[in-house]
Amino acid sequence: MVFSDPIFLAGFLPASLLIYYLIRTSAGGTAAVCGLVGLSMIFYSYWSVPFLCLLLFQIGVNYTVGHRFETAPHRALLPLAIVFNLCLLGYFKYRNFFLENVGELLGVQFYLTALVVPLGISFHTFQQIAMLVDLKNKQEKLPPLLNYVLFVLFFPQLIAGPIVLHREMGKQVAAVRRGALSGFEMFAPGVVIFAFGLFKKVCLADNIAHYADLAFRPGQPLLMPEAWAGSIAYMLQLFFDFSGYSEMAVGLGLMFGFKLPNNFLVPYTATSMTEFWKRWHITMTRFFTMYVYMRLWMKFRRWLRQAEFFRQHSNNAIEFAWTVAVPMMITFFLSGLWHGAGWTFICFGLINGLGLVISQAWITAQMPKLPAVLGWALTMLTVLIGLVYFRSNDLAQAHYILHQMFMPSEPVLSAPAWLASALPFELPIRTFTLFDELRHTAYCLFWIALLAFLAGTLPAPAAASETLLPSPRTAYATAAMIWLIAALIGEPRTFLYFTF
Amino acid sequence: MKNPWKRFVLLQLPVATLVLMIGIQALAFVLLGVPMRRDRPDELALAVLQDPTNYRVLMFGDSTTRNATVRFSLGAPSEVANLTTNGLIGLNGSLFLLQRYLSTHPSPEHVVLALAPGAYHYENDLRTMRYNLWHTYNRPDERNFLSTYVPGIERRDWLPAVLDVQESVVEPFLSFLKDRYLALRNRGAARIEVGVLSANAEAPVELAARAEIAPEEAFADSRDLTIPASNAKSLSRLCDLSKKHGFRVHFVWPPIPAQLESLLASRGALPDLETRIRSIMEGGCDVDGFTDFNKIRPYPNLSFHNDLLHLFGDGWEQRYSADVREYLSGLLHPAGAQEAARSPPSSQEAGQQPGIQEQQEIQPEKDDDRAS
Repeated sequence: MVFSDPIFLAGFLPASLLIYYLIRTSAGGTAAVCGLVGLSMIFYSYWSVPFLCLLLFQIGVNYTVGHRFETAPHRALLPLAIVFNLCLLGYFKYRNFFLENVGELLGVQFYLTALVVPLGISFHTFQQIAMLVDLKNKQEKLPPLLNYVLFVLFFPQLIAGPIVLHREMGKQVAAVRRGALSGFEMFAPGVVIFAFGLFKKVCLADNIAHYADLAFRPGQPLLMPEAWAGSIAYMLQLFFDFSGYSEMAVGLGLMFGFKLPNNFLVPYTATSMTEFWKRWHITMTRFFTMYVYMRLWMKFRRWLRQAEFFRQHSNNAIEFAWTVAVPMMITFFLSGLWHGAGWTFICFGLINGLGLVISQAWITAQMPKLPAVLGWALTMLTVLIGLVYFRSNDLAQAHYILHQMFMPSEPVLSAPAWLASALPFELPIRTFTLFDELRHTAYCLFWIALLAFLAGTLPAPAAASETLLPSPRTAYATAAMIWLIAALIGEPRTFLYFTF
Repeated sequence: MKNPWKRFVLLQLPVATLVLMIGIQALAFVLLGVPMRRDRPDELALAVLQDPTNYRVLMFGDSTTRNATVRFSLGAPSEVANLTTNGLIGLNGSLFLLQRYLSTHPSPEHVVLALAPGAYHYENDLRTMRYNLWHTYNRPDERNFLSTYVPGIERRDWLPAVLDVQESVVEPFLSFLKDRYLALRNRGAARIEVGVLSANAEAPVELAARAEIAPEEAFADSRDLTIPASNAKSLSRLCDLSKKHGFRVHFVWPPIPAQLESLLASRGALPDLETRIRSIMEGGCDVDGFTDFNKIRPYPNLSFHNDLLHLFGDGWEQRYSADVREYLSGLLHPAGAQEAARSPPSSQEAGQQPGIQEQQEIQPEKDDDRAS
């Protein structure tokens, strides 16, 4: 059940809101939280009951470990718990990738069955690891079991984030259990933000998906303009798809009276890689910064200070390399791997890591600030190259597309059939896939231009729901989005980030 | 209501929703009956009514033929009307085009149907047929045909326009704008497009860069070649029109991948389909028979795009277009043209022809290099 599925929109969502608020007003906060946990379990079990059991088992183990931190702390407890969580993640998500590569190294071919990855495992595993680390460091107190279960299972953020920290949810859940009642002030902005997210997904992302899918079909020959159009189409599709999903999650959270963190802040206007990653998938960046990068940074820094050799030969370049470049590349290597079990995802991570290292080096070396347009162009180019890897089925396809984008092996002077037939002389014509008809060319360029414009201008209401005003303008904009969604919603496409 | 958000949810949002719904319904009402001018098939549906030329040959077909031939001249000026469209228009749409042409023009001498074998079996889903046929072909006889043979096609007429904005407002409005713009520039009357380039029968060709495919999987959709009711009715109407207007009907098989061809041949599927079509067309209409362009030259799998439907690259398209031109020339000038004598045999006859088997067995090289 995806958020854009008519079953969810017309069935599960209204029913669960009704049940939740009925329980909350009649039976109190604790009963309402129990009800919400039950509804979240139904939501997840709609996809798979066995994997719901696995998730409950994982929650049980982590809660027990958290309890042990308070009652009988032991140094090995946290590493063991992290290993347990990563083993689960590794078994379900990475075992084939691992065996394939080991087999490649040893010259052995393993018989691999297709993987069925538990929905959202990367998200809720990270959420729980973060919780354990915070508990160990005494930054958090272990909440009651029911609160903890809701923190992990709360269905708006269960499948594809945002990656919520307990410090963001814990107090809110406790407040609900105490009987605090949020009213229309949260519910109504929730409806608006949810509609906005759904609009982005159904009306924008799904409409450009066709062009990206065509360009990234295995074995699809592409000419230079097609390679660029297909890659940019995917770049826009991913943004509207995932930011739309995140806004729907925030909107749903508000409808139930919980404020979830914002995940996107107009990222395609960033003029540097550092700024881009502060605006793109914010909660994931935050997780990796807090729990991976900062820890590596501290470790390397301490090591650098303590090691005799480095104390004697230390200079800015070495310090930069060990305290910024290496931790950042490791962090982004892991971030790429988190997205998927494949070399294409690792390359995606490394390209972004490299972009960030260069961006940081530029600042550290106190080089002159680049003009905003140039900075923006370089940032978007880096992101685009990374996303070509991200979307490609394998490295060969990514290299082929990048080759066609930057060093096309075929003549660039080509024309789509409709244009060639209108010319009085012959061009080296080849039938395009994206541009085979004037209509297709126009639609493709129209969607790219429209979405590129919207990507830079649409606000991020999830970032500041309190700034929304209950005005007629908001009402008409929401109504227009609702009608457009109702008109265009048909066979829902899965959200791209569901696979992670 | 003191709480502004409560007023928003209970009053402002419902009112805005209602106002938008009524506004869009009114717009849709104003735009009702505007002829669609969304794409080439729509233009063709108008062009067959408005083009003043009286053609000797009308050629219908799907995108395999359209994509390949549309740029090329298929005969002397005003001889051949290239009315090929695509699979979304299908056999029913081709019949509507023919009916429209006959309603405003004298009868052509020949009607050629260049549809892939699968097109006789294939029926688009309701939404596709509604989008491509229902909105374009809105004359009473066309609507009656569609209502009868495509049950449920009119169902979405009952939807409020706001739930069908694209089809009830956006596209009629854009069509209306286009119509006005063309009228202002005195280009109101639509014309049938005529290709101007001359196709070379020996144009150098390239092979698609991909691995070979497993034929059983790739051609799974082509196993069933039965003819559904709406397509059968279109064929029998074609027969009636042929009797009434006195034109001759020719069926041709456009290029299909060599492996599919041999698969169909090994099962006798193509001759069976020909027999089915013949039995529908029985009843005194003038049917010439079936001509297979795959017998003129083989089309290896790699001469097609990944979809295994459309020819890959300019070379193959030129070659096929040149063959079509030669074939049509044979129809128009049978006495003078030696081509007519060399006209390729039908699939049923092909089995007895020496040399045909050899042609079928030509397999493409399985590498990515371009062949010339």
